[in-house]
Amino acid sequence: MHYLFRTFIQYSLASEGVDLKKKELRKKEWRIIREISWNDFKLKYNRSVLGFVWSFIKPLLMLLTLYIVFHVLFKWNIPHYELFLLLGIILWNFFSEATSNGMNALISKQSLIKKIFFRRRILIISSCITDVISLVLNIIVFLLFMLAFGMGFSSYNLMFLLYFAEIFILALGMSYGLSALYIKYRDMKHIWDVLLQIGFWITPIVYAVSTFPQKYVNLIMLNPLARIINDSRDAFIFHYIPSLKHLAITIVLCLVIYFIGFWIFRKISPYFAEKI
Amino acid sequence: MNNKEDSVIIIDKVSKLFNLPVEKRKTLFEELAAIARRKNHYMKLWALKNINLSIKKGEFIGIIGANGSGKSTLLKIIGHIMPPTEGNVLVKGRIVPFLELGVGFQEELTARENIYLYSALMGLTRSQVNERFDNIISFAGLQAFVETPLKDFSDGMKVRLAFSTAIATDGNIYLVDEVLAVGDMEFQRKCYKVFADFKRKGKTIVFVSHSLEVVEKFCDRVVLLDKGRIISEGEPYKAINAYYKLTGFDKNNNHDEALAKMKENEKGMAKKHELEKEIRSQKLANEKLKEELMLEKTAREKLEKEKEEAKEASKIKPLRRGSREIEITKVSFMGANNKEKNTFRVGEKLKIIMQYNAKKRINEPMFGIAVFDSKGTYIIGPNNIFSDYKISSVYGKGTISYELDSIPFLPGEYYVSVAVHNKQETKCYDFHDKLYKIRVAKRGTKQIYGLLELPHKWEHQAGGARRK
Repeated sequence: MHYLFRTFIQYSLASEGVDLKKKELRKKEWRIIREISWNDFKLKYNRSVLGFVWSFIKPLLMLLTLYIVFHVLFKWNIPHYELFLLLGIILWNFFSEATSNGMNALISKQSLIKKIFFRRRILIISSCITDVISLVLNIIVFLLFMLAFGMGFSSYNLMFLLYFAEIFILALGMSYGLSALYIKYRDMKHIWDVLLQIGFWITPIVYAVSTFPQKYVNLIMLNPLARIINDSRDAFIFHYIPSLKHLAITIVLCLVIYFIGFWIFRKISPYFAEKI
Repeated sequence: MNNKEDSVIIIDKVSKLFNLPVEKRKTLFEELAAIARRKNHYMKLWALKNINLSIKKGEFIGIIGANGSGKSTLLKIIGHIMPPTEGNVLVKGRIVPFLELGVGFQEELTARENIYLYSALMGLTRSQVNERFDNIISFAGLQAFVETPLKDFSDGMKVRLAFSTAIATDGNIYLVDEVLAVGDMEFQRKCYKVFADFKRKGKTIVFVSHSLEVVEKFCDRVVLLDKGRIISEGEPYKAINAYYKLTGFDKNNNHDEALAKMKENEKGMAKKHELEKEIRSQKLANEKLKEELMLEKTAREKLEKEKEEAKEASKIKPLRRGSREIEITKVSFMGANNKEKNTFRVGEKLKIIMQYNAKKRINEPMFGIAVFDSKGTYIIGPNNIFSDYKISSVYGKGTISYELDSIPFLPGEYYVSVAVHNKQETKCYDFHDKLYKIRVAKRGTKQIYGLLELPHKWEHQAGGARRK
């Protein structure tokens, strides 16, 4: 009897036929994720004349403003400031949009949650992947900028693949936690907006960490996003590979945040349909 | 336990508790403020209580009950959309949910995008959807709107699209909640066809509906829920009768009840006003009590509202008018062995008997009967004048009856009006507008299309020309 119950639960969890295998479920879920991400990406620029070109214009306008303020007016002299700034803006934009959209992902798809059974995490993953599409396009623009400013490619650039994975895990984990909390408390949106505003300035985006005394540097570097942005600049612009210890700490920080977020999500997710 | 082996759904001691917030508290600060004040304003509401049910493969099971009885919650728990508070739900097979008139379509997406997204959620691959796409669209009759965003669709179009998309997935358990409330006749007919088809293919369907007629027509077994508990379970007519009893719409009392209510209304108006005044002043005096009542009210409000809507929807507006110079004092329905009853079988004898009391002599009165189906369609309207049955005059008490050898009506509920007019139909003596209800039960026919089953004969001859 107990065995019967357990197998039943497995079937029901999968909401699939008797012949269901784990691999098959994965395949099915990837199809869903692909479908949702692509639809959302299309919708994002739906009915706009310039379409997805906006995903380039936005960071470039931001770059122009900040460049004029800090380089031309304040006369900061960070080497390759335009590339330095652009990469910071691109990564920050990805993080802020992925977490904001991720937080919204459940609420904006509530008709699905209320009517169909599927693993709810699919919605969060899809939302993050939608923003990854934008990130990839932006990175391509960044690479073109590198060429335009006479910076060639090098094997150091490959380190970015690791940082890319880190920032994805970080954004995904934050989205898990935020989206679940947002269902319970609608002020999360405003709180997160404010935190993002603060985050923009306490993360080394427009400035370089190295300009601060060491004790502040340690403090700033507690922020995994600061580490990722800093390391990415090293990979693309300054051609430097940080110590293994440094890399390990970044990965651990990202994973800790990921699991906290996921834990919150897991706790609340069975009640999404009734709490929305 | 052995009978559980071939069950596809097992609901084992399932209960569901809702914590309904009495005051709306959606934000963090409100929550913190409430904790600080040590208030906990949640209404506990058991939407389901200790439900045990197992559904076999290929069963077509109906769930009926008043609004707020827990039907939809039960369906959502079977569909794993909500977890039960207590107990287990075990489902074997792929569920296709069709809840509250939708399957979870996104308003901004086009019809095409929605079909692909939904099908992916239901486990179909892109190429499988490609194959079925044309069928889905043509079943819904929306060929011209493939690239239209769903938000521009009418409710009927949305339901059609949702239904046709849902049935195209390879499910074997269908959870259906009130599909047919929206949608035109043509589409409803198509839906019935699909259900009949599913039944033949041995698919399991859990069907929630307010339309008892449809439930009786299709379901093998019906479960009646009331306040989250199973009240009755078994043969459709059994559960439906129990439902009638529950709602107080019981057969024979109908007429007397309506009359009694009318009399009470006339006499008791003044008294009622007084009572109301008293209640009002009492309420004002007990402000605290009122507050408490309000808290309860918020939780119940939704249920109340739904109940009212259901009442309105049921189209029954008993009405009586006329000068009463001839009064119809009693109307009764009799079946085969002259036994008074309200439930008949197709093809059974039906006799409608009116007892009247004429207060003065009236020449050539016209007694008439009208029968309507549950949607209010006027089916028959015989009277003795049209039938060339002359009653020269009436005075005092008497009876008149109308007899059908064989009831041609298909299973369902029918409303009956009776009336007596003068010959020219210029004067109405007594008119009971749809004051009576009879039911024609499923037993006796397999016919499900149309309104009537008439005496008939089929004949078949193989080959070309007819040989003698």
